[in-house]
Amino acid sequence: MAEITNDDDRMAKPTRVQLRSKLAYDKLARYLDELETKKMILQRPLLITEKGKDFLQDYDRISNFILEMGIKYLDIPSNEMRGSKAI
Amino acid sequence: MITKDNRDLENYHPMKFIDQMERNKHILLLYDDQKYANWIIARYVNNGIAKGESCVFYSYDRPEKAEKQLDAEGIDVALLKQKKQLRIYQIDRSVDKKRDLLLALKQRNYEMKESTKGMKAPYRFIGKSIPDVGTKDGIDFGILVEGTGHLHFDEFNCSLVCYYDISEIEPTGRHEWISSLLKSHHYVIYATEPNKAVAFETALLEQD
Repeated sequence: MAEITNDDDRMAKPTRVQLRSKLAYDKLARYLDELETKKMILQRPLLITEKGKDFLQDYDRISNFILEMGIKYLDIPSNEMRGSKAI
Repeated sequence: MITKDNRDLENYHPMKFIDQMERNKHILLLYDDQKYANWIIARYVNNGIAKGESCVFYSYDRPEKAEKQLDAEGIDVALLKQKKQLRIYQIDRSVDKKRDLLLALKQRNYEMKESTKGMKAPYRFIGKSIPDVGTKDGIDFGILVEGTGHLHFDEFNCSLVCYYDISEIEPTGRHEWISSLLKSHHYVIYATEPNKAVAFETALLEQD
């Protein structure tokens, strides 16, 4: 999602986002659909919403919440939590 | 006068999310510091009052204790009670000890109706829905109650904050309890020290 905001124009170009994210087209399309369902982006034209911007700002805190819940409260070893995005 | 405490409160990260929350949501408030939980609850009540909603605070203790707590956060409890915009309602969850799901849900339904008599919808509720999270048995039953309640949440014209002190949760049941709570609420608010506090939609944690 950060790749969408990195575009110089207000509207991001899907091909540029695909290049920057290094994702196969079908995978990118699936992620974009999911982000649109969660109201983080609009697809036509490709734009990040206010909710999407808020999420980008909160991303570190949300990751930390998951990590802290896991390590501090759920007794999951820290090495098992690395890179985990969902409980 | 703007005090340091006021500034800290205004800058507290989850506040923006709380101000923008949609109506009729089931909200999980996990906290490890009562001070920050009180900030969240007070903001939630104030926002509800400002939107013309009626607020009910469920308490296991004497209502005076909760009134004092809300007063300390700057809520004019006496005035709001008089205007029927806020009520502190004492609840008794001894029925939960029977571990009968239907009975527990009936009790909660009855409390909702009784506690809002004479008040104007929509409602905002705040309460520790499951009293016994200190035992594995209590947690197992709590998962059933919270999960079933969430499935039928849309049938009620209300929003509800369920708050839990993380330190009170029985350690071997924590994983199951917190994971289950995240699946049975629309939003989660983590009330902790300011640099870690966060609020977000639980749908973000769903895996494909």
